[in-house]
Amino acid sequence: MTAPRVLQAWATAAALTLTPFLVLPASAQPSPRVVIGLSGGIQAAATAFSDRFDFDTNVETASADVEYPAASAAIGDVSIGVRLWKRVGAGLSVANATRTGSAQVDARIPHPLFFQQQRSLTGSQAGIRSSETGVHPQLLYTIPAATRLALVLSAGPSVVQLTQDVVTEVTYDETYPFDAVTFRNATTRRRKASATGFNAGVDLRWMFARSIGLGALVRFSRATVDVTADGRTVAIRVGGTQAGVGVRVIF
Amino acid sequence: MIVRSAAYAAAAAVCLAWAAGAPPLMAQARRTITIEARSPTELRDWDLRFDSMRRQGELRVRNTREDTQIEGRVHQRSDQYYRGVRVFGGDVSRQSRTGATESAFGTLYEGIELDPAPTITEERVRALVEERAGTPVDRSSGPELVVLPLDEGRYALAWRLRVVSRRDARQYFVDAHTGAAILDFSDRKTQSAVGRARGVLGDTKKISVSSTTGRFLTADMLRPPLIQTYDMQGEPRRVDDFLFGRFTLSTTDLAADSDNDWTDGAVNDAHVYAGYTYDFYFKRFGRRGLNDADIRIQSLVHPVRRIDFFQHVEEFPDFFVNAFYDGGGVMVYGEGLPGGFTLGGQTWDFLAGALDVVAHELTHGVTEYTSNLIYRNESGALNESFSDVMATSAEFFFQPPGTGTLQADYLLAEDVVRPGGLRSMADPGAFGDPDHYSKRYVGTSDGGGVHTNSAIPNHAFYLAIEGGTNRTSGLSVQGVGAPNRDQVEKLFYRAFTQLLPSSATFAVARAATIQSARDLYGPASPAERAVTQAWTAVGVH
Repeated sequence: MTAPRVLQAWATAAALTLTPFLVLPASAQPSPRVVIGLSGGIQAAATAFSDRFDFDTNVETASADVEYPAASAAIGDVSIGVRLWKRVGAGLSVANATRTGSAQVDARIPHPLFFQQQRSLTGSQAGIRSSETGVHPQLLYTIPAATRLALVLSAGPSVVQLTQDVVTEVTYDETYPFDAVTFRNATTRRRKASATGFNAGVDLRWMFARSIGLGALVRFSRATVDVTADGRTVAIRVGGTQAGVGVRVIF
Repeated sequence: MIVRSAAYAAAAAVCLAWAAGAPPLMAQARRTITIEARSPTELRDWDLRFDSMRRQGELRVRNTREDTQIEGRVHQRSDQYYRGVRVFGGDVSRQSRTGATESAFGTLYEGIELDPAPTITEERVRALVEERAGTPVDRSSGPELVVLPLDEGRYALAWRLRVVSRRDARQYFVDAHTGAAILDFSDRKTQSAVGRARGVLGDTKKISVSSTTGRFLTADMLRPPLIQTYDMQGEPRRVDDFLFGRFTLSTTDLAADSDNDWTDGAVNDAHVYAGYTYDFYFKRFGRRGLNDADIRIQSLVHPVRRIDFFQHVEEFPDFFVNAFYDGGGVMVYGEGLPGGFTLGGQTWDFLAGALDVVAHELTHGVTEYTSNLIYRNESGALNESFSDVMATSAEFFFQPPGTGTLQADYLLAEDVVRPGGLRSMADPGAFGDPDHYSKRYVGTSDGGGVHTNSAIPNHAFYLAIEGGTNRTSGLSVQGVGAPNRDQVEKLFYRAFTQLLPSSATFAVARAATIQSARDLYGPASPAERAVTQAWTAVGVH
């Protein structure tokens, strides 16, 4: 699903969710000063990205295309919100999404004995780890719905740090007469980079006790991180739609 | 007393370490046991020892293999372990027959005392090695924890990590407690390298060489046989001494280059084309080199220098306008003539500069190890012809058809003996050679005309592929066509390497090639028809 379509879907879902709250009386709601949330859930499949790098071998240039397919990830989210004025507050959320997948490698390796005889190679490297940690400062707007129910809208900038395994070298097997190569594995380097983006979300909170309740979170965040590996830069779009449930504690 | 004080201090340090729960940082006394047990008494003692070690987990079987040479024998390899950690280099090979030990060889280490729990993590080791190696480390193969016997006589708990890159394969050992680099060494068995080479004709090609520290040598480490090219540096006496077995060439005689960008055309082409010829035989016929067992190929270039032409005129023509196979995989390539000199109205470049010249000489090696055609009269002409046939075939295998340099045609040596080359398979008469048996040379010079009468089977080969009419007989041949040239190449190869006797005549060659065509492509096949018509057209019945 492309980013605009994700946004559209998210906006539709949010609007449908919000509608009943917007017509409920505000006076029914408690006004907690501080809300702490702890959630676990899933981040929808991240955007696939690809990389291409060249390297010199056999006095020619070999090239490799690497596809990192989209994959969903488990997330953990910790948040704190402070009411500042009436329904308006400020919050900070930290979320981590980690996934381990594979990378598809297609390479063209020059023949060691003859010029202009590229040999094709295809393989898959498992164990490619990607972990993104987003820090989301947020402006909060609480919409009370009932005595125990509230909806909190949030939006703000995001700082996302990405730790990504990037394929930097392809190793292969070949035997005389070297007319074909077979993929052995790909060497990866773990790279870190960060970027700023945005986030927007909604948290449905239901307090089953005075200070403790449950929450269901839906958030969309987006940032583009430039990861540098072996002198080249790969632009990776991180974030996406996150959904999770967890506990909420109010003070 | 300073010595005594130091000893007390060391003892105190050990006690402190124990108190803190850490292993004592003392140097362990290493004892290396070399096992060479063959007598029944020794074997009995070692069997008991091995059994004891196995029960205690100090010896673990790595693999067990059936003996492929002696039925009923079994070979078992075991590794030494210390508290669950493999001892690097500690292993035993045991040969048994119906359960009874026949021999045992190995190395075991004693006196190991260390804490087998590492304090450095695998991830940290990878990072340390990456930093040291300057290359990414494959994360799919984790480091191995080992007990490493050190050269100075103690042991260390170490992480062993093998890093493979395009340039090298090295084993790194990192102290598992301190992270210090203990040892690293290359375990790549051959240091092959691919360079860029300019040929005699100025063309650029890849060259397979070997690398040593800061130098590259013309020793091909990629192909199965060792292919070496020696630069004789214009010293004909050394060439003679080598050919007559008076001395042996060494690594220092190999052509060398410092930057792997090779500029000596004669060296380059001799080396590269020897490889091409090996490739041609392998890919076309599945043959592994001259003797089909990857015998070493040695090429000698620059037996003289052109500028020394008058100084070494006694070496004319062999070391100037000739190339020859000396037997046992040894070739010598002539230097050609100095600028401004001609022979027969032709200029002579470095003989190694033509693929067909190199393939021709190497094919004499194939003949040597197969039919061994006697080098005189008709069998000698067949010997020469087979070299021409395979030389031309190699040319068509690697070069596009055409009439210019570095293009495949039915001329021999045309790239270096200009204009025109030395022989023509399509039109032998153009060089005064016979195109029909009735015109064969019947004198005694040149071994009975081995370089002259070879034109007759050469022309038959040409007609069998391309078809056409023999000028002398007027008979036409329906060839298999250039796209099917491999059929004629294969049937000639089969006949000349497997069917012909050493004293074969042209008539026998005819029968053998026809038989080959039937063997390979069936009776009445286009190949059989073509080769039969071709021999008939050149007057061989």
